[in-house]
Amino acid sequence: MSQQKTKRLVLSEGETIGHKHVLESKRDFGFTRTDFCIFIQLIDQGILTHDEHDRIVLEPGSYRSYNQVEFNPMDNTVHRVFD
Amino acid sequence: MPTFKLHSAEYIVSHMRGFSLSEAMRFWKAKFESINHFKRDVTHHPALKDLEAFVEEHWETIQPITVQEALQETNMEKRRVMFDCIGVSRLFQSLDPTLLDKQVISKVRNRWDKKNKPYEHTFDDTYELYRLDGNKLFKSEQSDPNPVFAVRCWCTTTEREYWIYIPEEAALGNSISSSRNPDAIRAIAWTIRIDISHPKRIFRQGDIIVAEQSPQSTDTAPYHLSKEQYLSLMYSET
Repeated sequence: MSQQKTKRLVLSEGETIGHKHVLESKRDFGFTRTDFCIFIQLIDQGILTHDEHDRIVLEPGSYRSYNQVEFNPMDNTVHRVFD
Repeated sequence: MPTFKLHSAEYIVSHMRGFSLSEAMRFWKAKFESINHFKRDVTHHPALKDLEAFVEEHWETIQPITVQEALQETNMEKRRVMFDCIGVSRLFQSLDPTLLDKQVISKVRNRWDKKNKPYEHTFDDTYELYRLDGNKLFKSEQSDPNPVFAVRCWCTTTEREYWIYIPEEAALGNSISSSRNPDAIRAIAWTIRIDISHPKRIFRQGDIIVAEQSPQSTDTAPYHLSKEQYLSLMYSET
């Protein structure tokens, strides 16, 4: 797992094509994607936006981004919810 | 190199193989909200572009499988795939589930204006927990098939309705506890799964969950939020 730097990161594409959860910051921030979550290290304020949802403002700090999950009773698995 | 024969190939739907193209198309039409969702999840590999083009050409005229057809299916594995494709929302709305619990929470959550200035947003959030008896789904399979559970909620921004399957222990509580009681808040809390201890606070934007670490946070095995954690840690929901 190597950390990458960016000013703009798509956290999730969402269910509908073109609707993305996007985190942006004025300064480069570190992130690492794993199968389970995204590690995010903000050194400046970050703004999380989406076409259909109100923005969320994140102050500098360490965060982890996940997808909401649901159960599948047909095969007893847990998987991500699509918005 | 063998070539892919579109009309004679066997297709896999929800991990079950053996579907003809015409049958698979009816399952896909039930499972995917639009052709774009189908393309994203099924035909993203370049080798499947002929299949993608064929399905896209016929998408509007494909008749999706129905709940009634699923209930008449005698192959139980196939019936499970049909229920999986039909989805929790249509299944629960069609089969008269039992409302186990309904709770309305008055929430005060942080939001931000277009200049990123914070303000407090007050709203009521409603959660409903439902059970669908197993014998409505798998009557001929066994004498007492397991029920399935789902929580119904509404997006705080778009007001869109969502049904989310949850396991029995999230619906009724731990099976080793003597006090099993349905709880819609415990059910929705279960849908948030993180892997750090002592999160400072949690943000939710649609289906994205962002947990802020605290100085005490350490890596843990993934766990689902408890009702108490859900009620105390959610800082912003949009």
